[in-house]
Amino acid sequence: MIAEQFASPLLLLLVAASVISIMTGEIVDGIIIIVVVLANVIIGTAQELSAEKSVEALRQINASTAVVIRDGKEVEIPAADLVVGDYVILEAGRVVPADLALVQTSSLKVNESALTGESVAVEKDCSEKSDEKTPLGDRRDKVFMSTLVEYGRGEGVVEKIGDNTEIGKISGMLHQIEKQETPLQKNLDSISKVLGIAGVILCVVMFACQIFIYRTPVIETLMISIAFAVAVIPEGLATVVTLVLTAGIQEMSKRNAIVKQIHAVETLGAVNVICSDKTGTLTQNRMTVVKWYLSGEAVEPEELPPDSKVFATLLEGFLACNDAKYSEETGEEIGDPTETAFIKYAKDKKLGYHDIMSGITRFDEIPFDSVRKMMTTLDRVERDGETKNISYTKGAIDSVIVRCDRILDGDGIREITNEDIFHATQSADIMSSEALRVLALAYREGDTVPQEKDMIFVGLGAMIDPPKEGVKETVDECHHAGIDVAMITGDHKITAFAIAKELDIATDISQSISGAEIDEMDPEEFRKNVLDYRVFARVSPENKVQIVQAFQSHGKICSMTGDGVNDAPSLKAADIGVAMGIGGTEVAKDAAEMILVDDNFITIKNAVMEGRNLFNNIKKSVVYLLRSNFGEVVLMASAIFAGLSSPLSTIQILWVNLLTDTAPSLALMWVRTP
Amino acid sequence: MNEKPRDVKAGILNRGDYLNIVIQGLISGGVALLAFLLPVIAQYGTGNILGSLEGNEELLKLCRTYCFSTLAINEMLMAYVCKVKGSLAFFTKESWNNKALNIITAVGVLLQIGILVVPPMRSLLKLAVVGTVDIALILFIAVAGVMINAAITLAKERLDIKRERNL
Repeated sequence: MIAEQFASPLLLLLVAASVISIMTGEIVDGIIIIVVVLANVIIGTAQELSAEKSVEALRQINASTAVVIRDGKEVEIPAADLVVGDYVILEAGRVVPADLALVQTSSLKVNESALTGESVAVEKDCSEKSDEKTPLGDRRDKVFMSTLVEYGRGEGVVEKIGDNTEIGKISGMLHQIEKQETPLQKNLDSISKVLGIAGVILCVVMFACQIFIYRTPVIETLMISIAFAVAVIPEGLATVVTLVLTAGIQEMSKRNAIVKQIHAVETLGAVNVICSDKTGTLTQNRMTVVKWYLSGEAVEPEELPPDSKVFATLLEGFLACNDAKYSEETGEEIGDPTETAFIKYAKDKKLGYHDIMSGITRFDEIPFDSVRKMMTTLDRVERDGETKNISYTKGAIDSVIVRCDRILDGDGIREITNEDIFHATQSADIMSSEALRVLALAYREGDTVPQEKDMIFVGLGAMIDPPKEGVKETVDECHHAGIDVAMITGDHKITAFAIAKELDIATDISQSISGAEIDEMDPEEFRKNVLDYRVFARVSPENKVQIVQAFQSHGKICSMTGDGVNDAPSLKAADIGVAMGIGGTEVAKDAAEMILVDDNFITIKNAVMEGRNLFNNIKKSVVYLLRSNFGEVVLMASAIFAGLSSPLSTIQILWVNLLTDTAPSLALMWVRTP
Repeated sequence: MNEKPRDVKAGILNRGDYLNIVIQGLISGGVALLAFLLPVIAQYGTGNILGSLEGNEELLKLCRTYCFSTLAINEMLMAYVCKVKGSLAFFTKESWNNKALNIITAVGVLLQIGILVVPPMRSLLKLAVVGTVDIALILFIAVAGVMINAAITLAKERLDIKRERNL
């Protein structure tokens, strides 16, 4: 690594200069030049040492143990010892140890966010059949290595291990993608090369001129040539650029952006496409109830009639028929986001969550499953000194409403009509088209075992993961600054587009494309048309890399955000990979150039702004340093060609280059753009 | 932030930057050369500069002292020209709002004068002993370089305006 630093023509010229200085008896000059050479080598080597460690982190990520059936017995073995065909038991809290084909599932929910980016746990069902073309997030009969079992139980047979697993494929992709030099690196390298070559040529011409025209003694000529070579080389350039980039990194860390690779700061300033994850970056990653449907009307929370008995029943039902919990210690809701949304609503609106829950005791239940698409709890409810058994059913409207024969509205309980069903279903459809997740609630009274028939329909609750505050304004600022914003998400197209539209990222659904559509498209056609799209939904890791490379093929400087293991290849392929600090996996953080401490889109924009500011300042300093060197070359060349002695000694030129030039050029970097 | 992202293919420096490097380099080099020749001209006139310097190590040392100090001070002052664009940049408030640059320049100029009067530094940098008049002269030439740059930039700006009007 140290030897590579000496490959620079400028350093070689300085080494030659120091050797000649020492040989001609100018020991002090020679030593000073050696010190300058060593300083440059040390700085260069230090930069190299901050090399990436993502592949190493990927190797370390694995499930430590797995429960398998061997010789008819349940045994726990190291995950690394699994072989294809092993029968694995999965339980809540366990990390999936390999890619498995499920043979049995019981309310099994797996969080695949590390692999697919989708933060909501996926319900698995061994009865469904998927193939290799099915998007990862939709393969409900499979579970994948390094994902987390959140709920339920399952059993499966090991299909793939090691590099053949989905996570293993990602590891392979990481090896294939090579990082390119940043524009600044390329520019500085070419400037160095040009100066080095020009320096050597001028030195030779100067030497010949002195020897053959002015008949100057060889020793003196050598000294003049050394002085000239030193004048040509901007010794402080590499140090100044490194120092200013380091200062930029510190400034960015104050603004919640940790930049890992020094030259990434400069690339940030050139970014003109930001591909951003949706959940948690553009949105709050908190499902929030934004609409209710009750008594035949869809209303926003602010429009709810005061003291509505129907709403009180609806809220009580959604809180009772709910597996999420509220933690007094952390003050946060724990559980499935669609369930925590109701607890959050009751807490935020100060609707007496604890009072409601203290009167409810669950004593039986029918868990959710994907066939019935609903769950039921049988609760003992104490209300106004009276105790009743109430069974609440929550689920998809199609499943719930057909099991209802009555409805609760402002006038009390009455028989449900076709018109009631039509209105409720139509409202649910409208809310779904607005990308809201809709849940229906019904109940029965007086049961001793939970039943899902002849129920009383109460209403609907609709929720969404809303955009983060300030993101819309930031997206607009990006547009003004010539930066395109694209949303990349594991969510469905309609949901993604609704949020994108709200944030001004996309205006028409035609600007949205799904991973499956990308796969069907001819790669060249996709590459050509990529600029027409702003929303990329349900995309695979391969799609993400494809998207980045398609943008780059149009000359775009692309920033890509990500948090999961699945994002690592695209983070590495992007000009600036941005990993989430809070929700990001170690692999994503290692593959990225920048880590967002607050997982916020606004921070990306601020970092880009800081990058632009730094680039402008670097440019000023480079101009300043080069003009100083050019001035020295003009001075030396004109004096020597005129037959005069060298107007400056080597040590004087080094003094000017390293002290009187470098210090002001550093100060120029501290100019802040408002 | 409202400006468009830069074209990464365009390179770090554009034509205007290269032109500035050349113009400012010529000015700095020119004034430093003038400073180098000044002691010779002062002692022997312009008649035989080459011959006057030959074998006269003390005079060469004095010439180099003038040249070195002028170049160093001029380059420090030129940082202000690089900071703000425009012919009158040096005289605007904006030019002086970088506290770090102001301190560095003030310390730098004092240090540059300091090495002329501190014997060990003077000996390390192979400088001649100079008096107050010499120092004043060095400062004058260095500042003159900045003024010449302002005049050239002003002329360039006028030419650009004229060309735009003609178009």
